[in-house]
Amino acid sequence: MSTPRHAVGIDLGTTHCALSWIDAANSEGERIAQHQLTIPQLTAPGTLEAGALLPAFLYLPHRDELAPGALTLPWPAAPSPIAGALARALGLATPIRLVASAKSWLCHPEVDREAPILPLEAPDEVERISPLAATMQYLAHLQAAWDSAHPRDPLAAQALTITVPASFDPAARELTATAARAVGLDDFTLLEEPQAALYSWIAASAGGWREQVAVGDLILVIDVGGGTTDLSLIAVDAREGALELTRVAVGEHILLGGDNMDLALAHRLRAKLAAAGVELDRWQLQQLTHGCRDAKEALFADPALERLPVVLASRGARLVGASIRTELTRAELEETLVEGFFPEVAADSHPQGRARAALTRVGLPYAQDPAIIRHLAAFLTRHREAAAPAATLARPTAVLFNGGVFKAEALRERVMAVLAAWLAPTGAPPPRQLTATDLDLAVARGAAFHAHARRHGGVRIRGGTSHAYYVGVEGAAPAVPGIEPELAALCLVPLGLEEGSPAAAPDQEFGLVVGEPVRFRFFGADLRGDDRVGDLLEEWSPDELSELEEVQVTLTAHRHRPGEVVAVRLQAAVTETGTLELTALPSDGGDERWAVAFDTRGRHTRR
Amino acid sequence: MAAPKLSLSRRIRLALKQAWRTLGDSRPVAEPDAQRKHDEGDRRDAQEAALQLLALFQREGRLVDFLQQDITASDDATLGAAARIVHTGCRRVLDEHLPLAPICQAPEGARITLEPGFDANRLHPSGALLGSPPFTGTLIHPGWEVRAVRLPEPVAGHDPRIIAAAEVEL
Repeated sequence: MSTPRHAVGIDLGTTHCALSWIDAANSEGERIAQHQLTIPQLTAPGTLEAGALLPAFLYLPHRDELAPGALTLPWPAAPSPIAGALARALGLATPIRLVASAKSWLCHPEVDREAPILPLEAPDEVERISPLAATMQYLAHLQAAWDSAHPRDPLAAQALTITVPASFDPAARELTATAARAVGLDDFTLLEEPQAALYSWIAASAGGWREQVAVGDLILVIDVGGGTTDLSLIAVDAREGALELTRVAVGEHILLGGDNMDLALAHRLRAKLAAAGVELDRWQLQQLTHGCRDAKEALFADPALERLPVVLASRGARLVGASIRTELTRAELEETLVEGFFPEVAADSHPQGRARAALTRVGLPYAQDPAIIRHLAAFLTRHREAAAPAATLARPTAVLFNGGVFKAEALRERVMAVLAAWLAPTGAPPPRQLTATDLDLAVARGAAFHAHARRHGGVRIRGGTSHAYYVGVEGAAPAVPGIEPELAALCLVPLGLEEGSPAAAPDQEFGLVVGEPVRFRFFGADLRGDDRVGDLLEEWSPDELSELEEVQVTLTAHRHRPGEVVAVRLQAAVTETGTLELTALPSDGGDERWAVAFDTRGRHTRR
Repeated sequence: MAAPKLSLSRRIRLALKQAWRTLGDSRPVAEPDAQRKHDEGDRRDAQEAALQLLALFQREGRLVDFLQQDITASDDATLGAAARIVHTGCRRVLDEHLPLAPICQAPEGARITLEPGFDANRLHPSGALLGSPPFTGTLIHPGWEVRAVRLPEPVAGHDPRIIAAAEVEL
């Protein structure tokens, strides 16, 4: 393959996808030529438009629903599913055919992510698709859009970085990688979204970032997307005279984002209308949500405005007299968003969990507490050792905001004020704000910069795996009927294992039967930085290790007969792509290697 | 795609040409035979662009619904509420598809001078129009100019005369 001409970054967001690229030939050092792909997509039947964002929605049309030809794209493609703006618009009227938030399902441990389960509420007649297939659709659309704009430089031949949430576990990262390979993108690297946001900040500074941070700084990245909140801490150190960035902590997967805020405003105005005797249907509520978003942005942008009308059009052709009018006041906006999502709480507060209803259906594990600030408090408390032993709170010295939500200065100011109040008792100065640009596109732009810097040299954020990983090993105690055997955890991957590090296998041996699938329980720990490969934990607190998807391996007969028991050891490595690779190898030194795969078929399907 | 692609500048030129014809003179200008066939294709493209724009105004701003409704008996408050929908949506269409800028940056009421050789397409003098330029006068209206035309790609097989399909909920 020839050398790639471009460095491309893809942001596979929960609500939007974007693609940015850097033309290496026209870039010199830290002065780079960065571009944004405008993505052709249907915006109405028979209407093709291009925008910087591809809404991450798929629509599975009924065969008689749309005229043939109305779905023609600029490249040969099957008419179903529809991706992008038209999918979102059609799904408004026909939600049983709309696939949304596929990315959140991709990391949902309770469901089979390779099985056609979406849309979850669809009647049997609708041909559903899997979360994995949905991810492939978005990637395929971006790829086709790129290839038709750059026929001589196909996407598969460019240096490519694809972003994932920092909170994605190894199985969800592997699924993202599988989706990319399935559409023919073989060579790419995965990058955590908050890191991408920081890369974008670095790229935009054209070298000036070195004057804005110093050794000892701890940068807190708060990335609030449409559907998720992603937190990371990145430390600034010196190595051989140059500044070095290390990602030292990532937060949990929090399903809470900007869309929740718009919806909260809409529900507030709906209650106001209901009090006046006006009931809204689903379609009007959706319009109200859009109207609230516009009013929110206008009110945040102009502090002199006290109130803005929000008018909902009727669905029929009668517009005058059949429209519903209400208004959003500044007091309502601040009470709902600033106090609701960013209240001034103490540093030791924790997200509040509501008791779940007795009958829970499988659904996305949305955050129970909408206060992003409490999730932030819990994150900084959990990672307090990033500050110093015995500290009560990690002490960020700088904050980088990302996501369209933070276009509102009032929200950024509130977060900064709360952080300053938390840090004041520790004697630490208030953190400063790093000036971010392009809050909607920063992740794609940062990803492109990452792909560029990988090839042409440039600053890299280090950090390796955010967790240590373990397999469950049954204890040696004699089995007692009715009592689960004691479980020990064998460390396979230490925290912070970097890509390309030499693989190491613990001495522990497992006797596996050839030809039969064998499962291991699998655990992750985000705080146990001292565990080394081969360490065997006999006990741990439930807060320390969280159970992830099981892993499984089937030894194929090669020089062994089916049924034979072979002693193997397990070994882990982080691939260049950024995924975790587990391998079983025979203890006798033979050269067979068996892949140990994450079981992404979902817990409830087999229990 | 089956439909031939036209360059942006060509589409602008065609759209303007068609608009001029529609507004000024509905009779087709006599043209040589070889030109006619080509020109009919051009006219179809330009008509399609006009219909696309109307569909956008309807989709985003409900403009057709608004104009087609009888508003003689409506009170101004009700009318005003509906006008907000039309204004917000149609403004979005203009910003995205036909971004506009005033021709004169000076505020209305400012004194400005038209130099000799001024572009009469862009600047229109009126009133005590005597002698030869430079003309000095008061800016009454700063004018509008479309800075770019970004209409959707037409999709072959789609009937552009359908501004909004009839909606039937099952």
